[in-house]
Amino acid sequence: MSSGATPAARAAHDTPEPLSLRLLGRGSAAGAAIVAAIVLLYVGVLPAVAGSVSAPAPPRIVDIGDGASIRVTEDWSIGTDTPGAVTLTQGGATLVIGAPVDSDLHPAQAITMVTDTWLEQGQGDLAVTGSPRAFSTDAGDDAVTSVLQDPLRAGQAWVVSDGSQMVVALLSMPQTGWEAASDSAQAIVRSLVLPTQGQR
Amino acid sequence: MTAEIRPYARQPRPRTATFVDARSWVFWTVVVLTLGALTQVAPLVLESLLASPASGAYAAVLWTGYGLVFASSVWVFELYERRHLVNVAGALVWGAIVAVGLAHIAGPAMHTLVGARVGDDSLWLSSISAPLVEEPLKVLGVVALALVPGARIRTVADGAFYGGMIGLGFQVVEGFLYTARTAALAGEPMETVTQMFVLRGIVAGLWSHAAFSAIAGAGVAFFFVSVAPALQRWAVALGALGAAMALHALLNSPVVQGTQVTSALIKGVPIVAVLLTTLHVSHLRERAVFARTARVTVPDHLVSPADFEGLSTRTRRRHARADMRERHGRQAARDLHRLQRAQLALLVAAHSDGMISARAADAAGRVTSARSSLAWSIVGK
Repeated sequence: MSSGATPAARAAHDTPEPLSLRLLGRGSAAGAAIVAAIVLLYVGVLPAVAGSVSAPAPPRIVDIGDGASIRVTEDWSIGTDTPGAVTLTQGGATLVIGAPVDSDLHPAQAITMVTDTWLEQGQGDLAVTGSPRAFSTDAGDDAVTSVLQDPLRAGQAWVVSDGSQMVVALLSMPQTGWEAASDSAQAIVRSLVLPTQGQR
Repeated sequence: MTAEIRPYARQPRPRTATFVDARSWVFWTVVVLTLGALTQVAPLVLESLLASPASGAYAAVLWTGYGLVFASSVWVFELYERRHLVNVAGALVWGAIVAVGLAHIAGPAMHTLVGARVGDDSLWLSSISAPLVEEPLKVLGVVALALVPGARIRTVADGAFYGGMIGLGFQVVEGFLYTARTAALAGEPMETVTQMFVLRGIVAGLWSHAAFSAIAGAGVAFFFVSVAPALQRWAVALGALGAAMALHALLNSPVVQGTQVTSALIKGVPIVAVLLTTLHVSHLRERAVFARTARVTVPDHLVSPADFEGLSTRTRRRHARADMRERHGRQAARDLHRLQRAQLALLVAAHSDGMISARAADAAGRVTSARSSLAWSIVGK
């Protein structure tokens, strides 16, 4: 042993030990848990938090009257209710959805009356309507939509019916930004749930 | 009542020669993380190779060669010890696979969170989000090694070394992925590979991920090897990590205008300054540790304090060999070199395992043998 070892060894004994030496002979579970926890933070917690930050808010359920409801995404504002109708706005677009009315007309028949009304209210000499397109709502009810257009406005009309009651929706907006508003409005109308006989 | 005096030479020693310790939960956690991360990294590498096979293979050869040259140079030219190759491989694997794979999951998430604060089109987005993910995940590898006593992280220089290796592994894989993917979309893929390799590997690469992780790794090692108060150890560890993240942010940031080369060179100045300071401090601490080991632990006939003075810097060792060559010839100089390496290995073994250990006994034997050979070389002339 080199000279001065005994006092030095005594001094070494009095010196606190670093963590690297204190780990010798001790269990490693705590260390493994620390490593795993940090990894979990990065690959579990972080993506979950990021997902909640970027995910759109769930749609709101809006009652349109007489037990019927629609799902409205956060990009639409609910305007002041008019009797018998709900008005939604998004930018320059306005979507008016009427409360259910008793009717045994098929949507394809009813849509004609809606588009005629649009044409009568139109401004400008020229107005056109597209061919009606049939689809089904998420609840399985029959529906028809038709695109409407005049020199100043773009519009789209929907009629949804379950054979005993009918809902009419009308979208109108300036020409620009049409496509986005139309797709979003289509999704709202598709979410329409009509009340069953017992609920009315 | 007196406490039992435990000679420093009889300290407990790690049960394994390397970080591969089948009885360590930390080791198995690392294994599981490596396998899991491989499921992220392997498809990325395959995709990059298949997108444009010729340029992908060229990028793979360049970056693999870069990694081998860099790692070998650092390993060979380390001041006092050549660390176990298994531990070096473990560090490289953590950087190349674990850190890259975990960052592939966490990176986009952090990007989203930071983007929500600074705006998705902010020029600062990647310079803020990337360091927040990549630096902690890389330095976690140093933490994992330090938690396995077999890895023998006993000095700040050990932390800087393994941190640098982890960063190098990360840099090689990240560099390959960026290079191969960019080249696959470029009109002249081979030329693109060369240009990107020069920029990311040579111009900016010398003060990139390896540098950041070396700085952070030194701080983690201080936490584990120092006997300073806990608050100071935490401050140094977190401060070093913070410095690494800040330097990484600087390298990614838009603060310096101009060409990519000019920008990388200018940003490299503070990074190199911090890295060299970290390495200088870590080497000074390492020198003090081994000087004490020579004074207190190792018998003088093997390594005396005066012997260590001659071993303490590379310059002194080189001058001693040159002097020996001049006075006693080439064979004597070679034998002196062998003796120097054996003495350094003995100091390292005595510090990490204690004088009464198999490693120290083996190193002591080599010192004795080298001293004998040197004596014969001198006498024989």
